[in-house]
Amino acid sequence: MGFHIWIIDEEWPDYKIEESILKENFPDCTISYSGYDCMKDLEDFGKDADAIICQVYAHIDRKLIEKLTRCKIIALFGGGFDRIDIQCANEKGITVTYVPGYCTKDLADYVMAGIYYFNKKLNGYSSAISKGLWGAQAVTTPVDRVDASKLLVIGVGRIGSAVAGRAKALGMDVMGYDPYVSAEIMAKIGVRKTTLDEGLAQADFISLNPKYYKETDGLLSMTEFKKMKPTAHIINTSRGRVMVEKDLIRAVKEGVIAGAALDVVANEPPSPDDEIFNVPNIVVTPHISYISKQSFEELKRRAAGNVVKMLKGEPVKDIAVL
Amino acid sequence: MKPLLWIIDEEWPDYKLEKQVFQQAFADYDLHFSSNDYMEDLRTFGYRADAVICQISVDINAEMIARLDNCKVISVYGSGYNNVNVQAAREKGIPVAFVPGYCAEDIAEYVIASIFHFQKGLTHYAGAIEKGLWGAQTVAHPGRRLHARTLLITGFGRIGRTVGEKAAALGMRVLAYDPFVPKEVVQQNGAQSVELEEGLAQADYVSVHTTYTPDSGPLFTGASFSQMKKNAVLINASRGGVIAQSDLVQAVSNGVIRGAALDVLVDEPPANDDPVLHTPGILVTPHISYLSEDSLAELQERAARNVVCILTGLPGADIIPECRK
Repeated sequence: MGFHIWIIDEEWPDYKIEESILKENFPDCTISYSGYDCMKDLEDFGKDADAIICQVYAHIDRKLIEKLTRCKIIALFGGGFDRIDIQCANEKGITVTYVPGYCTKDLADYVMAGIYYFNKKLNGYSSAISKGLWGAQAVTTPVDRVDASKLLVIGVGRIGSAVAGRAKALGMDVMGYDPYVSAEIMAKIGVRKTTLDEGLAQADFISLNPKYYKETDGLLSMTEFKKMKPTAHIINTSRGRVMVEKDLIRAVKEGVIAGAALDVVANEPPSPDDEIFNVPNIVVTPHISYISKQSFEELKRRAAGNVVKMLKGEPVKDIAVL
Repeated sequence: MKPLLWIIDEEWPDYKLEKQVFQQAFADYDLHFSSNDYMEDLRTFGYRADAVICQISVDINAEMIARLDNCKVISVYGSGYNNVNVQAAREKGIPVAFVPGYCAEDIAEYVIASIFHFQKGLTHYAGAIEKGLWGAQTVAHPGRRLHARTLLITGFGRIGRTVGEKAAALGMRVLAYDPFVPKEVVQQNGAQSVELEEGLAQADYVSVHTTYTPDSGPLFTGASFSQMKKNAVLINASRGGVIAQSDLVQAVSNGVIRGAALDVLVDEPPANDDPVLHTPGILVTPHISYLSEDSLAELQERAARNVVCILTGLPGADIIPECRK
């Protein structure tokens, strides 16, 4: 009897890439599909799966993991794994894999798009034009250009470094805050290591790229916003809860800081009437910064590839550890 | 010597930087200001001016120049100077000074911002979120990432090269069309030299930096748009006349190309009912691509410095090519 592979997802329109990789390696495998509300499917068929491939949004908790009878691998479609009880999985001898770095370029591009969005405000001129204003009259306060602006990257890992690289190439002065990365390593990519306070005080733009865990939960709250320039903007492509969202809303509304571009929010998926969607100068995108044709293909190929290697008994890279 | 310096301008909020430059150079000076409608002032004091400093929108015609009795320089706030009757100035022996390249960096940043606007679409998702959609469900057709995109630059001078450098740094493939720049120079600047048609067929983004001369007519017409990819975006921060604007409106409306970012139009300022302002997919900004704190400071300071250099006989003024000996 062939392997049973269980895909838990509500994101992809199709699974052609995964199916072709799995069928090519295991012609007689069975693939079944569930949404995130999958406890009934778990009882019906999921518990006997040999492998689970799931979206980062799926909550794979102790209750689910303990029911699994023969699962060897939980392969995540994504670079984060904060909704998986890894400890419990490991106790049961289940390997959890993720796909680090598949969307590094896409996230770094998003951060730069956020910087140019706030610096150039291309969308902000239609009302001035309709009032007949043209040229310098349409610009209330000229700002420093991007190449004269300072960026603070919080979390100088793979993605933070890619952001820094682009920002440097476009002429920005780049500072880095990361307790786990040395000044020497930062200097190699042209980044000046700072303390958090120093970086907050100097930055025109802040890019949040830390891993999300206990230590970074609520890293930026009103106390930190008050240390920033009133003209500064934040771009968050990591996890929503790296900031205290209600403090961020208040800080922008009260002019403590100028604004934010967010691809992640505290509660995902959010309710459309959440306050975060109705704050002037906060622009929100629906967690799409990682998406491109190339990133999708790589993500699907690598997640399915991790399952193939594990089930064939080959060494697996990309193992998620706490 | 107490020079009379005459600024004709309706754009700047203040003249602190000019005053600093003048104070350092002259023990004493008279500074006068006029709006673009300056004829009255010309009669009362302007005719005596030692220097005219003016915005590029001010009409400095032959009649005006003929009345300048004492003028030693006409200094424009800008890198273009088609507002000045250069012939008349030359005949009177008045050099025209300009400020080339002060905003190359700013215009290049505008082009990159436009590319990101279309590439990442930060403001395109509000409707989807309102409908309760989130994540990959909101992206019907994931596009290729910036690294996999091609930019065509037409006009590979100072600004075009600055754009190319930034795009290449972001991982884009950069093509350049410029009949006056040798292939090797294009290559040295990190781009690949192409014919216009070849470039149009391959590019996801096209940025226009050709010099505009009214008699040459538009470089981009309906025929050019049909040579472009369906998902291509045209960016123009040079002069409006480079593009046949009604053809562009039609091309975007009919899906021949995806869209455009325009900082310049055929008629500026545009009428409120100008179709170019009401075409989905066309983003219009009010000729602000050159503006930043840094570029304005450089522009005001260099225009003032041009005046000082000429009045005090120092070298270093930027005189337009037509007035150089």
